[in-house]
Amino acid sequence: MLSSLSLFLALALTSATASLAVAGKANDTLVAAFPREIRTLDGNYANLRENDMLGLLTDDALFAVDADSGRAVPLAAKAHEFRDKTTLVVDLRDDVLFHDGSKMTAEDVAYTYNWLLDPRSKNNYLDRFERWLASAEAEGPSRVVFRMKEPYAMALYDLAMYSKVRKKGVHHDAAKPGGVDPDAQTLQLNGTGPYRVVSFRPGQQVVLQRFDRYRNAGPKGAPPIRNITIRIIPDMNTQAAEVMSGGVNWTFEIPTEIAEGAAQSGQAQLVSGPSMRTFYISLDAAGKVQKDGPLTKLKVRQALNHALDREGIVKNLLKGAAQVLHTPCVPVQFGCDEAMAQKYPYDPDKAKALLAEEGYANGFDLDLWAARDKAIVEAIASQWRAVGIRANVRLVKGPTLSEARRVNQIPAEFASSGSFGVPDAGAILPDRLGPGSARNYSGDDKLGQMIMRAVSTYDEAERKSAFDEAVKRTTEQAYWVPLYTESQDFLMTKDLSYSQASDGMARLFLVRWK
Amino acid sequence: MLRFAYRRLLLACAVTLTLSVITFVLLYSATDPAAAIAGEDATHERVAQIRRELGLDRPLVVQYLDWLRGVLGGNLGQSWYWRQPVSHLILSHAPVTILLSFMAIAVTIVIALPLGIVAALRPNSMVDRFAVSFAVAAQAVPTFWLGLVFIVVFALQLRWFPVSGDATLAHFVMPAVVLGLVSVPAVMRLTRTGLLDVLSSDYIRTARAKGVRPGRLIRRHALRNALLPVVSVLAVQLGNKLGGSVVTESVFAINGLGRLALESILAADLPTVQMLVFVFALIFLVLNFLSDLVNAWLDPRIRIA
Repeated sequence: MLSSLSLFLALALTSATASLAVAGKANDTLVAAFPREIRTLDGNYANLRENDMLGLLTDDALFAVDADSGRAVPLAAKAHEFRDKTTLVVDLRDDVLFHDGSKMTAEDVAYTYNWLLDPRSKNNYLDRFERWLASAEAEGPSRVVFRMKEPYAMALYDLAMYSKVRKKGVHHDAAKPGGVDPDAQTLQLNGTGPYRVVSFRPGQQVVLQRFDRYRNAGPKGAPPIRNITIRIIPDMNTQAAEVMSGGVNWTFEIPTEIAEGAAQSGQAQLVSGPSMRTFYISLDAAGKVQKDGPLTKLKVRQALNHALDREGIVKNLLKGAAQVLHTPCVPVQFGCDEAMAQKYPYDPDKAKALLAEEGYANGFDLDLWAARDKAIVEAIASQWRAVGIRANVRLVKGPTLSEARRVNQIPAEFASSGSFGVPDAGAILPDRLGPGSARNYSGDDKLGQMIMRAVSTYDEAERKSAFDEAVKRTTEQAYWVPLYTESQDFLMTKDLSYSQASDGMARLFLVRWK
Repeated sequence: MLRFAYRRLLLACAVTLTLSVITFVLLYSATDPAAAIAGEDATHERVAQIRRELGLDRPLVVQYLDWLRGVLGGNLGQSWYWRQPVSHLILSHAPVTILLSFMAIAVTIVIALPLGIVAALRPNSMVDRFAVSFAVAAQAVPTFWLGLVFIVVFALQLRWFPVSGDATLAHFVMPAVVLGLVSVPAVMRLTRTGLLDVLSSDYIRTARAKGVRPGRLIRRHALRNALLPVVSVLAVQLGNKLGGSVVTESVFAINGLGRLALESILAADLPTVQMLVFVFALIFLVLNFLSDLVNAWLDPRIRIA
């Protein structure tokens, strides 16, 4: 009995002592804390921001979003050109290596994108690529030709942000059902990025080491830190305590009050930076929920805009860690010109007058759906109630919200979009207000055409003009109540140097020891 | 004794089967995992396609029988969210939870039993009042708060223990104490009450009259009977810790079964949640079965009843 117990305890201890990362400059080991679990190493099968950040370390896509200019620049690619409006030709660098030492070829790239287009792959970005990409073909050892279904201005961004190149054949395994293995890279990854995976415990920890044969050229440059360990710590207070104790060097998305408290102790530093996350309320102008309901009336939607004190919400509830938005995108994005937007200053009297003009002097019932930020949503509902709109908050879990959206039950939704860190209005407007989007409650075909015109031409002036029209129309018609864009707080040990790029994407390969 | 064990085992199997039916029906009727898997902006067609691919469009009875056949054949299914076999997930997360739970129950025993015994031997004394007050305080304090206080005091101020994680045995000390303290009130009170009852019984008076020394009287005669309900409660407490240490695991960033359950529930990963509920229920059944056996060994009257 006793020996069995000892054996059991020994097994438990063996598992518990799998690896111990010692954070610090002396060991050239950066320990970063993420709040949400990494459950796969394969970025083609995850859409969490944490996986985006990990993917930037372990994989080099064909293109990268440049931290300074915000443009899509070649990464594993050397150059590109549009042979015609629907044919994108990409020449590859000849010094890109997989972590197993083999060279990345055009065959690998073509295999990757044809796999991503294969319904059997069940990858997270199938719908996105299916929308515009027909196929990819290798044309010689270092040239790939992308055949597109239609002209698509966001193609380079999509190649940069939503796909990781995989070795040819890696997802095909005759021993697996149907001869394919979508999970081939879930637990062990053969990537092309500056860091290779040493070990991975799903939901717990990823240990990375600098890939010694990385070319040290291009937008990512030479990785300055040798080892990076990513630990999953769900509790933000625990994250802060770890930074103060030196057990963790770097955290992100930490609530401002916790980060400020930790920084004031003198044991950590707080770095704030911009984020591209846009918060807004969409309104059922199309009458999907209630045909000819109050929200189908322009003046009612304008009243809802005037009734909100955005400055007050930012100042009092977000403690200033946000900027008020008047646009359906973030002004740092290409095509998001604030000058084009109609602004709705806080004016409850005007809101009441507009409601009365439309025959709603006594207000109306309105369900405001949300899946997060209860305090802010309650504040919004309270301000709407102050002008007579009987707002009722429906705080639900994400899947419930999605289902309600699918069956057209949501008259008003508190929502947000991070634009995948892409500094182009084309990363948010088609998804949220474009034709065919389940989130589009505008019912405005003309607006849809403007947005699609902006993403289906390569001419920058024409794109800008189309986006300007879309921003103007969205705000004039008050399809949304734009709210704010949040800042990001990074809490880190004092021996680190890091500055956040304007696109809001945290790039761990830019972290340096002082 | 064997017949007793056999009867209990049959009962445990029947309860297990019933439990599996109830959890399966409740889980699979309460949520639509296809919608969760499809993602926020998926179309009706995509959700329906996923439902078909996962076999969720079949009658619930067929799905249950399929699942049961798999479990009996050693196939616990594939996690939709973690993209791994459920058996692998449970086996990889169980060791840390088991270690944490046993350490926590050891903390409970070390604190609660002596405190309960001393309180019973000196009823209404200062020691007794202290023990009862301690129990009330331990019961009132939320674990997440206690966990954070421990982190501030023992990890940040005194630097005795690491803040979080499960890399070494030292990482388990604070969470084990936090988790162990939660069970102290129940076990301490039961020990105290049980011992007080036993100490006033006839056979103890007889033993005293025969001149049995106090220490021997407590150890050999009183405790053996007083501990009967305590064993059962300890089994339940251990079961609680094995299945319900979600908060402690989150605060101390321990990647055990509790966190696996929480994340799987949030992701509507039904194969994992179903199996975890089943495993947690099994743990309780096994522990209850074992505590019944221990009780029957301690008190032969139970075997005959």
